[in-house]
Amino acid sequence: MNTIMNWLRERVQIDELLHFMQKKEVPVHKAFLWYYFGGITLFLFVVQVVTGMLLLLYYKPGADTAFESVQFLITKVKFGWLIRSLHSWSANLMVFSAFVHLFSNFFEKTYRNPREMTWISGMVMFLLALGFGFSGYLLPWNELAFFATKVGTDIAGVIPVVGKPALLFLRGGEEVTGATLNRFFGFHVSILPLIFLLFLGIHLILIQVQGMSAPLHLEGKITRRMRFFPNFALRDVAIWLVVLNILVLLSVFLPWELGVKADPYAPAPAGIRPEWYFVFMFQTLKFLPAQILFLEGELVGIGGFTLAGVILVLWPFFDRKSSKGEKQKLVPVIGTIAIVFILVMTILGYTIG
Amino acid sequence: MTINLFYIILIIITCIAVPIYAQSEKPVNSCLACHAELDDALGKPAKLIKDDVHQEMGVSCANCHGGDPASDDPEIAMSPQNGFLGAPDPLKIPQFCGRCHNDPSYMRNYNPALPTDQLDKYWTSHHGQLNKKGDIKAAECVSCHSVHDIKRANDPRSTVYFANVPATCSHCHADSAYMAGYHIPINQHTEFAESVHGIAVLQKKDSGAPACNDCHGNHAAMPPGVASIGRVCFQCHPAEAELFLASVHKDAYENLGVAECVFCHNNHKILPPQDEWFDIKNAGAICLKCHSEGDGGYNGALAMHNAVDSLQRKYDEAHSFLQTAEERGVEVSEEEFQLIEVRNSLVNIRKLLHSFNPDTVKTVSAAAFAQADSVHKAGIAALDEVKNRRTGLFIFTIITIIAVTALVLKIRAKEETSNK
Repeated sequence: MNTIMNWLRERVQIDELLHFMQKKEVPVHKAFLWYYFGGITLFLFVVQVVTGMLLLLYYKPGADTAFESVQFLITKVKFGWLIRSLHSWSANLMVFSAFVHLFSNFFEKTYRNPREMTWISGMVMFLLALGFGFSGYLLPWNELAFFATKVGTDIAGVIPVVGKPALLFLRGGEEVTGATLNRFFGFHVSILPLIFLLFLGIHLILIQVQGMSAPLHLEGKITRRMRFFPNFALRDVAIWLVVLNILVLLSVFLPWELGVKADPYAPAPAGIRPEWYFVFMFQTLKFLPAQILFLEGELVGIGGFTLAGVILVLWPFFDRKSSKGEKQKLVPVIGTIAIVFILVMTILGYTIG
Repeated sequence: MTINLFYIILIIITCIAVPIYAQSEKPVNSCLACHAELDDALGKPAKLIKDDVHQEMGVSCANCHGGDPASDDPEIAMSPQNGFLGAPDPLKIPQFCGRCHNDPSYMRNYNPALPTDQLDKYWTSHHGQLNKKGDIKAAECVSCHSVHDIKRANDPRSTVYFANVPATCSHCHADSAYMAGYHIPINQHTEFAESVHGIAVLQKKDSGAPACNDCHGNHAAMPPGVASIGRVCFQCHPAEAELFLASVHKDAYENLGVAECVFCHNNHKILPPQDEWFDIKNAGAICLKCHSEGDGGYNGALAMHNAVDSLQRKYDEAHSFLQTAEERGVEVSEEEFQLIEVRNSLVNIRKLLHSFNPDTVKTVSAAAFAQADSVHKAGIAALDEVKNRRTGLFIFTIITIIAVTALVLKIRAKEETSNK
């Protein structure tokens, strides 16, 4: 071990790196638990990458081959079912974990100066994760995914001026076809991961350099600190192992269903809805009247969600009070309303009709 | 100038008014006008006729009953001198309707596709023959088609719409008082309602399924004779017919003088076929009507039943295994597809029973059995897979618990050391 370390010391400034890691500390306080969700999200992303690469060994994009290749993978390939289920479950848990991570940081106002870039890079990754979910959902080319993609891309097509070109770009034509599948495959395994990795790098470097932010209301009151390496890192690993076990448990007892192959000529089955993390938006659009003042109801909904998304990404610049160390009462109000809205709309999406 | 303008306006008004006046001049039908005022039985036709197909096609009261509908005076309107016929004698109703319905050149003006042989057929029917004998109770046109509110046969409100035919026939045939003296059963409708055909017609409203008239005929209604029953059933069941006609039972039934299909399947109460029917070891087996232990028919039935029964059992077993495996999360759609083929084979083999050839049944069953067995084995393997997955999860969970416990102990040890 020493020989290896010495060999490395001669070539890389490993001591400086180790020194930096050992020097880094994590503030210990009553909201300490929320720190783990960043690590959990990162771990689930790693599971995504590893299982995704294994899936690539068998997956064949194309309207005539995608469904069959996934079916072959989960029925004939040793542990193929496990890899696919791990990939699907970790994707969903990753989005959930990212939601928790996002809201915990929002409520704790950790985005305040000088961590605006950390927040923005995190938000971009969150949106990219939704993009991963949307593009990955279609890849098995099953009936539900096909029609959900049709509905999802139809919604994009409503946007004035850019809607139609966006729809054509996403679908690779007027309709959802094999061309759409190839396109989504490209987004899912090449374009999105590249952009994601860039922002992930920025996000992690910023966290390592700036350290972990403490909640605004506890600033100055924190007396205990924990060494990041190895104390916090070992805790992270223990939690990751538990998460991995949960993933395997879900994969064994609730393996991700393949469904029936998509048939573009078949009528849409009842109960078409997108992945759970899009349901609150989908349900809101369904509730909106056809016409709001002089605008199309759906358009108002899409505009509202886009505006909310932009405000959320740029939130550190809207909340200047927190950066100055002043009390910002708006944050818990907005955060609570958003969570209640998402929960209610999601529940309604699964219970109505 | 003023006079010219006056003439121009007069010409215009004349051009517009004359066609309007001509259009508003409708033919007078005093029959409806007077009978609509009556509340008794004589008023009923005027009220019913609104929905009648004849009225819809422009056939007026006078076209059937004669008279002068242009006259407001009942004496003149219903005068025999003006051709008034009145209500026909019930025994003469077939000829009354047949004046038009038996005339192709007349019917061509209304519905060229409508057959015009109803009256000829009627005379060949049992109803027609009784009518000729002066039996006033024998069904004639209005008994089935109703009167004054006659609908097209494809109108669901019609008494002769396919789903309403059993009720129309049973109006008389299920009435014990009405049918007294004819010496025929009155339970046909009850039996039919329980049959596969009855369920299809009455409950599922399946127009492809047979109602009374599809087997008995409509205008030429007559119970099919023993010799012709098979041919009637064969109209819809040609595959079974082909096998039966080539079988040993064709001649045997003929010699015995028994009705072919009815002998096993019954007539009105045709129930879904059961394997018990040819389970020769079962005291209720139909084959036992003619065969007894040790004879060729007995052995053949035994061989066929064993083949079908073992295949059915294997199918059920395989189906149950696949269902459990699917519920537990194993993808078995390919095996399910193979099982559908086995189910189709079972249907085909049950059809093949009409050949009464044990060798054919055994050969086809053996191939299907091999397929069912392979699906059954796949089902067992799928359940083994479930077991392996759960065992693997258990082992992995133990490893996780050990690893997490080790990590927690390591963290504690490190923190205790650093605290000291």
